[in-house]
Amino acid sequence: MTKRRTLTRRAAAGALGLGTSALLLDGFLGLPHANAEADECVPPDEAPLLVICEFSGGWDTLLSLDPRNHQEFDDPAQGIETAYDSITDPQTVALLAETGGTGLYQPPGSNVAYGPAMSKKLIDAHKDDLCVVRGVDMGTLTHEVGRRYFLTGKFPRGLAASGSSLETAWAALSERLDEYQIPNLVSGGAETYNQGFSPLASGLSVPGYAEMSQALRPLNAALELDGEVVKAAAKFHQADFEFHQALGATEHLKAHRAAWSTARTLTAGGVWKNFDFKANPAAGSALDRLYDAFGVIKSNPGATLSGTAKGQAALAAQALTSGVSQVVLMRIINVTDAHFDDDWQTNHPRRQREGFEAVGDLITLLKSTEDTNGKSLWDRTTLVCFSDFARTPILNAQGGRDHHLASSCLVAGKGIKGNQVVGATKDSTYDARRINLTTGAPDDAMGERLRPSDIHATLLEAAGLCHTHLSNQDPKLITAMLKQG
Amino acid sequence: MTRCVRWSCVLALTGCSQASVVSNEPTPTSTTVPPPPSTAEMKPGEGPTELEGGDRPPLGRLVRRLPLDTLQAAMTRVAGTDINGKPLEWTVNGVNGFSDAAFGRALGRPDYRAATEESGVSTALYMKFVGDAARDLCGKMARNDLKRTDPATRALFPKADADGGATEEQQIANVRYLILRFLGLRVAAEHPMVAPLREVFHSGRDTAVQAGAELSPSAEGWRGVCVTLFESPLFHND
Amino acid sequence: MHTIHRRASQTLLGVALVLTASGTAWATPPATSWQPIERAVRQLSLDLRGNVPEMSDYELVEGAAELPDALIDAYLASDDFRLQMRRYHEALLWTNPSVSLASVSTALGSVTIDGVQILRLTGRRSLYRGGDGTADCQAKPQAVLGYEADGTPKTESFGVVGGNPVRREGYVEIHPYWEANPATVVKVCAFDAQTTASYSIASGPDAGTFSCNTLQGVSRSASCGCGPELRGCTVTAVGNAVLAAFREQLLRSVDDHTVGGAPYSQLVTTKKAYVNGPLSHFLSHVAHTLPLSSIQSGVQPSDGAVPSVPYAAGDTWISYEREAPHAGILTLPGYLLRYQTLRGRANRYRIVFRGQYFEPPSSKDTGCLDVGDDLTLRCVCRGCHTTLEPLAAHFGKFAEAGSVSMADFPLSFATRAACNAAVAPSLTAFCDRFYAVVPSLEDPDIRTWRLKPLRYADSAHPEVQPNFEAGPDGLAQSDIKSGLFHEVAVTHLFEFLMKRPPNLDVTSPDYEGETLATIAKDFREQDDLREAVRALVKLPAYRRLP
Repeated sequence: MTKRRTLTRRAAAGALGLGTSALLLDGFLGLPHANAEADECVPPDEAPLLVICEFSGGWDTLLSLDPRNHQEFDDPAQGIETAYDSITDPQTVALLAETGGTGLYQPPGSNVAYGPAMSKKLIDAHKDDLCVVRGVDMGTLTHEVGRRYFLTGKFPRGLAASGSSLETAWAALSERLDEYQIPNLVSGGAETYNQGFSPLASGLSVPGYAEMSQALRPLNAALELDGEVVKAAAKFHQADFEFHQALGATEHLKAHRAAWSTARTLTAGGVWKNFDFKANPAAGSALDRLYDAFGVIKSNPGATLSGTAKGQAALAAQALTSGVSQVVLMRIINVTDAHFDDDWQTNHPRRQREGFEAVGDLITLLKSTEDTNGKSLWDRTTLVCFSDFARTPILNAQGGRDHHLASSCLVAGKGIKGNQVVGATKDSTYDARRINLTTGAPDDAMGERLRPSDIHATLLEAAGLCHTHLSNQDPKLITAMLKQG
Repeated sequence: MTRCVRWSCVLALTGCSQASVVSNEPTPTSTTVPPPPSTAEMKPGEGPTELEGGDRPPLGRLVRRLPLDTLQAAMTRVAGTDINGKPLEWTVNGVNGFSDAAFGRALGRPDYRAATEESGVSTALYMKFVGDAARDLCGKMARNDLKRTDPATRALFPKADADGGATEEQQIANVRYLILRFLGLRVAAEHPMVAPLREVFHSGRDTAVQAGAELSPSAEGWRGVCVTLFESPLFHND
Repeated sequence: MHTIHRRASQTLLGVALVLTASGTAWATPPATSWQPIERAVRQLSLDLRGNVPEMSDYELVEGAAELPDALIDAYLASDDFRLQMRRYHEALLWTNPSVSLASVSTALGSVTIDGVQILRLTGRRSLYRGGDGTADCQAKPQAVLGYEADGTPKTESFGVVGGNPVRREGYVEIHPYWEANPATVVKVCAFDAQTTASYSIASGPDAGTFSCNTLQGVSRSASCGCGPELRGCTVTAVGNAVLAAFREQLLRSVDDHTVGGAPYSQLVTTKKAYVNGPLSHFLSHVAHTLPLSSIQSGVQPSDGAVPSVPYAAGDTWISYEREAPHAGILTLPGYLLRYQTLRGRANRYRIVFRGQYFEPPSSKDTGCLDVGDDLTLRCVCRGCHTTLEPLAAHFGKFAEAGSVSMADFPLSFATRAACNAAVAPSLTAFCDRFYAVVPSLEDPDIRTWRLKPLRYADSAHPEVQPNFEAGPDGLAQSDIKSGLFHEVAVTHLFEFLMKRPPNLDVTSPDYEGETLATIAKDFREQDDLREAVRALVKLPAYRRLP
């Protein structure tokens, strides 16, 4: 059974100053907001926010989320070769030295040891929030397949993704699509999928913040059509010609109409101004605070933000704090597919760290942004960082690392118990271990393998959202990840 | 990217998952229980006659949104040429708007390095740029047509003059011509598509700013029709 | 599944099209919904030409019941079809490599010295000027300082840095090869601009005279520079032009085999290749001087005689013949550099030319090893790697992280020293780059260095050696001979034109396998892609509405 939004809510949205054309929204076009779920799933009162950070290329978790003591695990014959001393990235070298050569960064109060390429800033500031999930069985060593598997929780068919990406489902299941101008923002080339949810939940993809403001700005106001013409055009698009029925059979018609409507709303509403990252913003303004959080050179913001992980994270931060978006999926950085030593020793660790540092700045800003209920925006935000898969525990013949099935992910936020590790990999082969879902500890005899669908279901559960769209995956809740009470 | 959602139809109807398909069927108002199906032997492809199943049509060709390269070429071809014979293009700051130097990458043109696929359905960003391109191209079409004295050489209003003197029959003929040019559909004068497009024309003509305008009111009307057709789902999904 | 889908479509559509036009009408709605003829033409034009039809095409088909053969012929013969087929193949192959062709020893960077912009190589500064390797030349013309009797630029002393004396020359003005206008010159540090052809090693095992235009020359001899017109060095624009040339080179081969008259199956077997100016220049003067840690694309005997084309001739493409083990596009840099590992190449081949994807088993894997390097024996891994490893061996003659053909390389060396001495003068990194040690199971003192792809060629993996020998050509020929190549090609074309996969469920009344098999059989006989496309667009399903 579908749940339908009321016109009253849409009219209210229009009254909030979204412009005349906002009334041409799906209210005019009569589009329902389809809910994929059964009646018993009631979304929470406050919209849960979501940030997904993709570290594309396949990250070496030995350097970050699932490290080993370099002084005990550096012999390829024993199955794991940390080779931390081969790294030439200066900051990684420095952190290795700081840890006395073990490569394990575990500040006081932390229950988790992180690898030498992690961002100290992230850990020091937010260790109590971070939950590291190890031993996630990615089931593939093909980049596109691993990426799409984690994004949707369903194993791709060939290379084609199956199901909807998590952020699309999240936005749709929250049933607040018309409270946000861009409910689902996708950036940095990340892939987004919508299978069966309302088209309004589909991701709006932009490469980065520069394109965001350009893309949302009317390119030439002098060419705009009169409102009456637009109304008449909407009637034409909405009419049920027999020619439209062929498109309707394949859902293309609905997607196109929704896209047309959303496009008109976006350009009429001045949304682009939120993403005009100009130099020297007014002191105390939202942009100024954003720049402070990310350490941006205010006289030249592009130097910090253009083409960087911080740029992607700043875009996400602005989208969430300005209330434009509810969910953001970003390809925060390409860590490089480090099969060869010239990448693995230098670029790969540096890029992982840059990505994680940007994540840390994002969390800091969300924590310092006040929500309408007086709490912080972080209070209702969920964060998850993932990659296509991990990398082999032994260096290959070229001095780099190949692809490896057992990966890790980093989760934090609403309903998630932080400062802990859930799951594990073997010390001999770095393969995924079965775990007790209640304790998060390894249980090779009776435990379960962790899969992306399990993580999806657990995050949705923590946020108070349904996950029945994953039912054909039979996901298991990793209750060890959840905050009690 | 929104994937071709025929799979969602499959899943929803088989009950494998509860991913939704928004049904266009009306809410049933009757509680009558239908009779049980006949047990007579049926041939593959046939439904029980009591339920008026009839023959099922065999598989056809599905639909996909135009790739960006095709969209660029199609809009340029439909737009025609300027009076000097040069193809009309959507330009932004002097650069083709669909090129990678402008919005090609934002629109998702694959480079087969970071991006290997294009979306198969229309997205909001895609439609936003389509709108920008349409308004730019249609304005150029109208301006150039106004300079063409031979109606047969016009791209936007060959069947009706834009001086305000076109008859109703000429307006209808022009609408039918534009539907064929933009959408590849040959329709009769009384076809349901014609009237709403005439309404678009009239709205544009009647609300056109008179003083100092580069386009005559009728040309502005045809510009509106042009934009509407460029934004039609039938232009983009084939 | 398709049965259910069509039930849904039947419910949603409800009625067939009823058209009325100036003389064209459906008298009664047909049981099956068909595209109106003009809309069918639009669909055909979009699919075959990537563009909508001209208005004249709509006039041509007014009142027609079917798509005219003449129209299909015209579309297939158009240049737009060639471009559309390029897009189609790129969407399958993803061949647009993004690699760095620059190294500090060959890529000229710009530096401003006393307000003068000068090009120089950062990787040779220590060799040329001593010190700690950071010294550039002076911002004064070399003519002021003069030259030694042997032609070496004279230098001035600038003290000692890092325990080593620093000597600095001046700059010269050179017309670089990448500038089309011969009057255009750039300022280059004089050492970097040296044109010496050879250098000598006076004594030792490597004593002799060698070409400057080698990896050893550029990294060891201070008398070797970039060569005449800086031909042995690059700037960023050159790297970009070469990458673009890799992409275009592959697409030209696609043109030959889609519209150029060559049999389609030769796309993966032909020895013919093309070069333009930038590619010819790169292969002739730069590729073999890149460090062993970089992309290796140096020309080998099996690459044939690469034509000499001036760098500026970017739009001039000259064909030439490569030798075995080259195999069509599978051994062009556009493919080899996009998929830089043997497994990556094999995986892509399997997807594109066999229509198969790797998926790990969903059930628990037992009776296997939990640890070990041999992925064909490891639990879970073996599900894919028992297939992948032998397949990857087919690409073993082409170096990973490069496109260099190792067909002429010795298969093994008895010792590492012998391995390093395989090139003259010897290169210690050469062995590590292309060979791996394979210790004997019987005698630990016997440590043979084998070409890396052969390190697992043993009795436990009997396919590796023969597949290595067969090369990519053997792989392709085998799939062509069995018919699989043409069957998969037809399936891909079907998906491209019908926007859906074919129904291959033999129990379904809509089974399309037989139709595809017939088209594939004809395709195999004619080996003409256009005819396969023609057969597909003439299927009733092509004009049927969803």
